[in-house]
Amino acid sequence: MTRWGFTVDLKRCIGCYGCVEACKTENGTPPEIFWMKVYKRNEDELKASWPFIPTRCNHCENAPCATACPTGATHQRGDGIVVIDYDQCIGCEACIIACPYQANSLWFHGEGYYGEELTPYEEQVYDIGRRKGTAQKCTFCHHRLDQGMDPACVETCPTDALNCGDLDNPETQINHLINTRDYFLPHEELGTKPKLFYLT
Amino acid sequence: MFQTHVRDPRAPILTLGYRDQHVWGGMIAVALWAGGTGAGAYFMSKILLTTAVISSLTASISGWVELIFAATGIICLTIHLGRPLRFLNAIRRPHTAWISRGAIIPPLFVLFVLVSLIPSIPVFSELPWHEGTIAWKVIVIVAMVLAIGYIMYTGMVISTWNSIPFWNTPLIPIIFTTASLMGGTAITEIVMAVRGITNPVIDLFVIGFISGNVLLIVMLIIDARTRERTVKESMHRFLTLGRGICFWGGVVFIGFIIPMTLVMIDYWVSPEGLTGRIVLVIAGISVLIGGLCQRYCILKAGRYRLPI
Repeated sequence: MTRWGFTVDLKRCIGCYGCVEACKTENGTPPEIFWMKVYKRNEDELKASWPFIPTRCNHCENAPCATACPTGATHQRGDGIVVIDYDQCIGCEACIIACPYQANSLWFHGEGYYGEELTPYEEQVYDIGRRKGTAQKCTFCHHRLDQGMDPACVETCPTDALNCGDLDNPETQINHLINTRDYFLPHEELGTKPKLFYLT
Repeated sequence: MFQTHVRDPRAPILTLGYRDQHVWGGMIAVALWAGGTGAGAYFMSKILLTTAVISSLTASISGWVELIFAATGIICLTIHLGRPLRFLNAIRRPHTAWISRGAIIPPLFVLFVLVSLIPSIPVFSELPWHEGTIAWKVIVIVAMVLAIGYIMYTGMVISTWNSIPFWNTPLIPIIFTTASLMGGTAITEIVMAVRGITNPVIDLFVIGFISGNVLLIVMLIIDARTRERTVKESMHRFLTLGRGICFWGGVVFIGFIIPMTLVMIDYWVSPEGLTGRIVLVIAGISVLIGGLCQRYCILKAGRYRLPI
C-alpha cells in the first residue's frame, strides 16, 4: 500500500512563492485562501540558513482535524492522504481550530479577485456549490497523483526543494533524502505523526 | 464589468509568528455561555429543590428560563455553522469529536427539560409524569445527568485541542463548570427576587461559586507564567482584550466585584422589600454578564502555536 510523504528542503527554498501560485492555479482557491503557504522568518533571523519555510497540510497519521470532525467529512484515504468531503462538511470549523499547523480554512463566498461578482472562470474553479461554507485544505493533489503526476507545488518548484513519494517504498527519492539528510518533523511532540519532513 | 477592482494576485508574505484564532468568537461565546448557564441553572435548581431551599413553583419558573438559555445555546451553535442546514451530520462521530457530543447532549437536555416542565402548565397538570411521580423523577434525573454533560461539553469542546495551548489545560473545563454553576445559581436568585422571596442559602452559593471562579482565574494566570510563550501571549491578550475592558471591566468588575458586594450586603444587611429585590436582581444580572465576558475573553485569547 502506498503511503504518501513529502519533504521540504529548507536549504534549497529561495522564497519564490511558485508553489503557492501553482497550488492556487491547480486547485482554484479563492482570494485569502492558501492551501500552500510560505512563511518568511523575522528580519533578524533572515541570515539563518533557512529563511523561508513552505508549509501545507502535513497529512498526519494521527490527524487531529479528522479526530475533531463531527461528521467524518475530514477523513484519511487508504494511501494516508487526509481529504475533506465537501458534501458532508457542516462548516463547524473544528478542524481549523484543531490543526496545530493552521492548514485548514473556510470560505464564506466573499469577493473574488475581480470584485464582488465572480468571473465565470472563478465560479467554476472555486466550486462554490460544494465548497461554500465548508472547510478546505491541501489535498496532496490526489487527482494528479492518481494520474501518475506530482503535486502542482512539487512540479513547479524551480530549486527541487519540494519532493514527494511513497514512504513505504525504500527505493523512492523521498526515502533516500530522509535516510541521508538531517530532518525534523513539525511539532512531533504533539503525537500527530506528520508525513512532512523538513530537511535541514 | 470585472475591471473596476482587481485584487493583488500575489501570494502574501507571511512572517513566521504567533497567530490568534479568529474562527470562534462572539457567537460561540454566547452559545457556550447560554448553554452552560442554562444547564447549570437546571442542575442547581434541582439540587436546591431537593434540599428544600427553593419551592416547586420557583424551580418550575426557573426551569422555563433555563430552557430558553439552553435552547439559545443550540441555536447559536447552529447559526454559526458554515452549512447550517446540514446540522444533523454533526451527530455522526460522538466517539471522537466533542462537537458531535455537543450536537447530541444539548438537544436531549432541552427535550427532557421540556418534557419535565410541561406538567407545570395548568392545562397539562394531569399528565402521567406530573411532579412527584416516579416517571417525573426519572425524567429529572436523566435531565440532570444531561445537564452535567452539557456543562462539561462547554469546557471540553475547546480544551481538547493541543493546537491552542492556552485552552489545552484542565483548568478550562473546571472554570467553565464553576462559571456555569455560578450563572445557574444567579438565574435562580433572580427568579426568587422577582417573586419577592429571599433565602440566604442562595447568597452563600453565589458567594461560594464567585470565590471559586476567582480562585480558578488566578490559578489560570499563575499557570500561564510557567508555560510556553504562546500561552504567555494568550494570557496577555486575555487580560488586555478590548484595552482590558473585557477582562477588568466585564469579568472582574461586573462579574465578580459588583455581585459579590451586593450579595454580601444582602446576606449581612438583608435590605427589606423592593430595595433587597433590586439588589439581588442586579447581582444576578452582573454574574450573567461577567460569565459571558469570561467565555468571550477565553475564546478570543486563543492563539496558535507556531506552525512548525
